[in-house]
Amino acid sequence: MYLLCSLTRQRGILLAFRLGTSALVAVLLGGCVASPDPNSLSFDPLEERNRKSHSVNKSFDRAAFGPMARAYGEGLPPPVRRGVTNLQQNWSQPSYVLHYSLQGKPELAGRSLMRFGVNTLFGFGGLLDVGAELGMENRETNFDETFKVYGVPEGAYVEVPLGGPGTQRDWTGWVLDSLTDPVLLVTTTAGGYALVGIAGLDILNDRYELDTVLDELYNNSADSYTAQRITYLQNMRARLNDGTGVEALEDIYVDY
Amino acid sequence: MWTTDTPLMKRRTFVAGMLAGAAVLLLPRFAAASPVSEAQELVVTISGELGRLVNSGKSGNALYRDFERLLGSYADMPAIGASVLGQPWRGASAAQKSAFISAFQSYLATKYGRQFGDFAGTSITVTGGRDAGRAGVLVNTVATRPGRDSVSVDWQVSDRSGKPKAVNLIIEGVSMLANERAEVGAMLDAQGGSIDGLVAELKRRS
Repeated sequence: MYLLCSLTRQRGILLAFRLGTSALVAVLLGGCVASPDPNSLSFDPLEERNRKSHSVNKSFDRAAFGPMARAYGEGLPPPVRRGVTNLQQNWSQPSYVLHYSLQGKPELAGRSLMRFGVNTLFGFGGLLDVGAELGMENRETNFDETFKVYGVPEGAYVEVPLGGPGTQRDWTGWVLDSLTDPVLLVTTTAGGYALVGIAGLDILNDRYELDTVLDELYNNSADSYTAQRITYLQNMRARLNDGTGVEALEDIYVDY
Repeated sequence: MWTTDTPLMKRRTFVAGMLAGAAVLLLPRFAAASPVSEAQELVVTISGELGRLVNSGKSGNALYRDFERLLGSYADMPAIGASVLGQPWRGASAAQKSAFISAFQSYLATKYGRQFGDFAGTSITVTGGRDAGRAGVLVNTVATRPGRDSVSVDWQVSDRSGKPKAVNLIIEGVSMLANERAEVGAMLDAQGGSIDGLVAELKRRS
């Protein structure tokens, strides 16, 4: 499910700068501008600044991120990478329980809690995903979704240097998520480093799994900045709405 | 109690069996008549063809050109092309329109064909379908890939051309039409708005 969603998780490369750069904070606090049309793919008041970030991100991807991801993906067998992903997902569940509760979705909160219990106890601390085999599939959530549930608009599209695509709402949520993760709040320092390390490796895995898609997007697009914005926005909205609805379809025979 | 009930139960079971049998005989005919199931049948057919193509062992140009033929048979390329080009379509001559559709079809086949390596061994399962009125039918499928995350693929199918054809593909929420509209728009801008320049650029990318 997370093929394209992972585009957004590339931002995690910023884990080293957990509180974000001052530029990011300036953008986030610089007034939330709401798009006149919530389904718009072209609303982009920060385009000039975003395009600069995009060229930084493309160079970074070509020089470091992409090669590191391929080294990780080609160097480690799939079951090992799967284990890292499972650990990352498992230790994210307590945060999901919190968010699903805030969103008023008790059944999803319960599923995340059960999943966390089962995988921690019977899956070697989450190395194996026993829960998925019992019908408890992983479903990600975060402050972006919680904000959406409370009616907060996406705000402008923001591409962050070394962080990747997002919106004002999404990036604000990401900073808050880093600060409020229940596991990171209660764990030891060593445990915290281990979890951040696992999250970092899983980001490399996401980048590796997306290699063909990103290669096409970065290197073969007529306008890779716009292609990434459109891809990110559609994917994020479909993820938050649990799929594409019929109302999103256009009548392609109009006027021709 | 049981002895008196049994014949009645048997009769009921018999009647129920008859009705079920009749339903089984009738269902496929009803099903074939609905646009949703027709669209789903088309998606199953296309998925089968795509599966054969992805696992054919072909690569590069041979693969892309086979895919290009599939697009021609199962997708309404003139309507897709017109919708992607938008406003400039109306000002184009008949010759430009047909040159654009043909170049756009090759370009799409090459661009998406390059991703096929990621889908070796994939099986596509239809998980739903809904009538979207004038927009056609939305068919939901999941592409399950060995050892990797599954991918949600939605197909927009329309019979406005006279028979059911695919008119859009939505992968993990990302609409091919929306993306190609932006891409083709950017190429057209780079060619100073010239359709002939755009056609040459699409051919260069095929």
